[in-house]
Amino acid sequence: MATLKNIIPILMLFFPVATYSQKDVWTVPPEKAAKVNPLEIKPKNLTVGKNIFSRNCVACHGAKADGQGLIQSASFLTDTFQKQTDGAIFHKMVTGRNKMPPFGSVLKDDEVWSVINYLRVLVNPSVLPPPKDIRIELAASEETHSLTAFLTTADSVRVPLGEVDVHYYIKRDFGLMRFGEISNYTSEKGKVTVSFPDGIIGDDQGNVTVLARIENDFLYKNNESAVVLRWGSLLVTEDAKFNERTLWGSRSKSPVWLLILANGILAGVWGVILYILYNLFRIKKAGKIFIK
Amino acid sequence: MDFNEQNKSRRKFLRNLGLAAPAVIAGSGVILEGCSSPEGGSGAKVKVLTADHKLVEVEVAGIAANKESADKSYLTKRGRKGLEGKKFVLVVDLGKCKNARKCMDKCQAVHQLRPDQHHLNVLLMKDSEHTSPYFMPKHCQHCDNPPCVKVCPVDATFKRSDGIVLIDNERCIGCRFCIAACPYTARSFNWYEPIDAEKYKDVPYDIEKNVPQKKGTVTKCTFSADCLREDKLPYCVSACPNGVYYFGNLYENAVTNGTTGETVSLSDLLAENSAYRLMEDLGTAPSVYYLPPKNRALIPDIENDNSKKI
Amino acid sequence: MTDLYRKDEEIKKEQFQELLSDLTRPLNHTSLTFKIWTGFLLLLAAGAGFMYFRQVQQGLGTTNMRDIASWGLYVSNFVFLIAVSLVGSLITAILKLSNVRWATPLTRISEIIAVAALISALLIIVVDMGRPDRLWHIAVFGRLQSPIVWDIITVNTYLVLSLLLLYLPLIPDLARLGSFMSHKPAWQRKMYKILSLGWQGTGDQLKLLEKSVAVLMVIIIPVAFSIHTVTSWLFASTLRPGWDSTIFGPYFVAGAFMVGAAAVIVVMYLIRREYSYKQYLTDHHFDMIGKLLVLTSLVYLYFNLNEYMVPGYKMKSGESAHILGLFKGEFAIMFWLVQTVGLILPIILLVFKPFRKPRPLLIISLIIVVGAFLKRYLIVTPTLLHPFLPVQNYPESFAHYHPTFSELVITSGSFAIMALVVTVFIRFFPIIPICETAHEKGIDQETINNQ
Repeated sequence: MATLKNIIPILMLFFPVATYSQKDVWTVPPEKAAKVNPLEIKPKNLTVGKNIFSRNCVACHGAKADGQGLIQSASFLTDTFQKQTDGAIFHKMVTGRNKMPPFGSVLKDDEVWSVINYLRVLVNPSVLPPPKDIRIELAASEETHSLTAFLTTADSVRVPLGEVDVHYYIKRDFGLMRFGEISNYTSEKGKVTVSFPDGIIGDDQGNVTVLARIENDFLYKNNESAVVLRWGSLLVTEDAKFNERTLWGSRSKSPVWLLILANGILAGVWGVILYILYNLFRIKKAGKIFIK
Repeated sequence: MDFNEQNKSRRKFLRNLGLAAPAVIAGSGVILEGCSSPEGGSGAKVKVLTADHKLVEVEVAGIAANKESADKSYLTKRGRKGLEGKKFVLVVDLGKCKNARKCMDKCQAVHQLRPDQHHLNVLLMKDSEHTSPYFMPKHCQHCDNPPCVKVCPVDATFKRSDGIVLIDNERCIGCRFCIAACPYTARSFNWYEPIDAEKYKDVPYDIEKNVPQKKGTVTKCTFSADCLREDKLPYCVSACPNGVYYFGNLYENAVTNGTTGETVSLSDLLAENSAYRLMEDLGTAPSVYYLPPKNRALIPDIENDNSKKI
Repeated sequence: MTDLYRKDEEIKKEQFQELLSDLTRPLNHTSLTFKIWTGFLLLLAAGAGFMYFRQVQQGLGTTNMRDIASWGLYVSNFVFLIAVSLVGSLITAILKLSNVRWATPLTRISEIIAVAALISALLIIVVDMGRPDRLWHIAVFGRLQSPIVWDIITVNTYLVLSLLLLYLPLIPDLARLGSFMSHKPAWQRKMYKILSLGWQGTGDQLKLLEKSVAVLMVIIIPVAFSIHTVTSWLFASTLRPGWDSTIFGPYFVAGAFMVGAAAVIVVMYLIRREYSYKQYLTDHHFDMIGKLLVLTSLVYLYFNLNEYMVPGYKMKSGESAHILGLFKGEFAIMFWLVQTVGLILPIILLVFKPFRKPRPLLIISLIIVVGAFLKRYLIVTPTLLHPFLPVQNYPESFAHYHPTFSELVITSGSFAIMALVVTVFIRFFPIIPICETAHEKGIDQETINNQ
């Protein structure tokens, strides 16, 4: 019963949203729908689009763009959506309606277009050529505390690859921590350099594992390269503090004052008890002497 | 140390084999794989790797019969020491909690708890009349000045150097002083024979997971110490569908979100969100931080809330 | 020697004879009431034993304690019994050291109550344990930082001191019993003989005994204070609203003196009635201990005022739920009954002499004892039911605590065991000190020795 009671208000919450998406037609003026997407479908644009998508859209439309985010919303994978012109989608994104905020005030036109490109590729990846192998080399510069990734083709010719987004990470216990910019594109020489951030804590030697990754790229397969650097500050533990004698410490770590106090009192009282027992013994002895 | 190394390599081997619920026979004893086994080997049969690297399928009860007391105390002894160079910290983003309770369900399943026993409890909070309600997942706070550990008469509950407060249910005498002393209502007691006691009767006690539960002893959140030993996130953290939990090592100043896997700087996360700890004025120095319930994903409906009932 | 002197000696001898046969009457005489009473106590204890066996088998789930109210009737009862045990030091040590002569016939009563209450308290706290089979862990793994360990040490130390304080003044009486109880079975006479340590009443023995008793009386006072202070720290050492108080130590000690005095009055009355001890436990005794009860009650009232008035004035967030629960919430009826009928009313009544007559004093004392028991319950439970964080995701019943039948039976069993200890003691040992009373009546040591 309790679960049913829980479900009803949740259903009621979603109901109006569902009706909107089905009954209400969101009409776009023909001149707006006819607007042409000025951007080419290029990896760089797609990455920009992807980043914006994951920042602004995923919450409602879901990471898979299937409309299963925090609220029920339009799926971008359906034909209904994909059949629209780029211009129509652009208009809807910029103006917004009901729960869909008007992104025109937040995003630049190019950024909106790049999101649209991304959504097109998401459904139809064949627009792009199949991803190729890539070789990645990571070099560290001690002088500038910076890292340079060098990307080439995986074949023996080793052609430097430009315009590839490299992600930099620092390895932590439970995952990888990003640093550098959101996108770090290689130059024409196939190189991109980022500086190592301050205040990174390494192990007890100061060693830090740094990774450069090509991931989820539209042209290249995933690859990574790692180096271990002694650029971190030393890991400082609080073990000394932990090993102090405290009230919450284990039995072998009771505070000295407590030991003295408790054992002192105990010794005093039990000393008296022993003294009295000794007196009882003396009383018994005194009785025997009397009989003799 | 030697044992540890051996164990690690075997585990790796198992993982390479892609087993879902492996158990390892190491030397003379048996250790049920903790974090990677969904329900602690609840099935009747379990895959086991023998010392000479042969894979066999045996019944859970069958392995247990081979166990020796030395291995039981090995788990407990190992569990009493903290993991070196680590001090664990949990960050709870209250704004993201939608009361999905996947964390609670996972926790109760893993730790073999009854529905009314909570290592982790999602509370519906309303601080005062005119403030807005919010959901607050509440774990053991793994305090640095733990009132519960102070009062334990037999060292059954203790604090490790990695910050985790554990309880040894083979030591606990059931006085429940720690329950009385905890201001966060974080502890629970086995008032009856635990569920499935018969099934887990012969399974060696794992102090880091605190299973099998034992009648007449106190049980509490372990920060999933068994997972942490394998560099995996706690059960509740990885069970959350809404990105509420960040977990990490305070010493390396990084926490990882259990839902998105994103790792961020702990100090930045705490600073940018004006983090706070529960009942700071009590001086318990918790290891759990809360990010205020700003921009809530779901504002609780306090009128129709049923969370007080089971 | 003159006739006059001889006659005086004869009178003294006769007096002592009479005293001896009077005060050993409970040892020789078992009435039907006594047998029914003992049978009733044994039945209660057996019932409790059965319920406890069931509890050990099924777990503490047979009680109504749960994760929120994790301590209940057992712990309240423990605190109550510890409180009662304090009376031994009050009457025997404090009053005797202050040369209060009317207290002499009450010393042994109060001391045996103390011993019985302590035994019962130690039993009930084991009953409260989830794993009584692991009691030995305290000895092996005991942690000095825990107030429970302090409590175990002090309670056992106090038990040893109380037994000694019960035993030492009994030695001269035991020596008399050895010769006087010739009609008793051999084992009983042997017991008296062994326990009397060959007492001859020589000057050396008297001196040693007097010195030992004096030392005991001094040392038992701080130990008595410490047991109840440490017991109060089981609560005061936590951060919980209602327990987080700095006056808990003296507050508990004051309450203990009050309930202890009341308990002595109840036992005094029953002994006086059963054995017609009107000339030993006189109306004067009742009058005086009634006055003592007023004094201890007033001190306790003062502490109550501090304990509830101050937080009630401030209404700090954590405390207010607890205080309001007592003042006008779930516990209001019990709280105000305990405070008015159990504390204020007795004080007002006991100021007037007619109410210090034995029978009205008995009724008032019974009310005080019951009130004091409920007061311990009010200290333990409401605090646990008002934790800092909301009580959610538990069954509705977790938010309240009402003891189960099993808990009630076991608790009454603990009282039965306490009463049994007192009853058995009265059956085998003189409950009114013989030699001390003789001294007070001016009978010299020589007459006593020559008996």
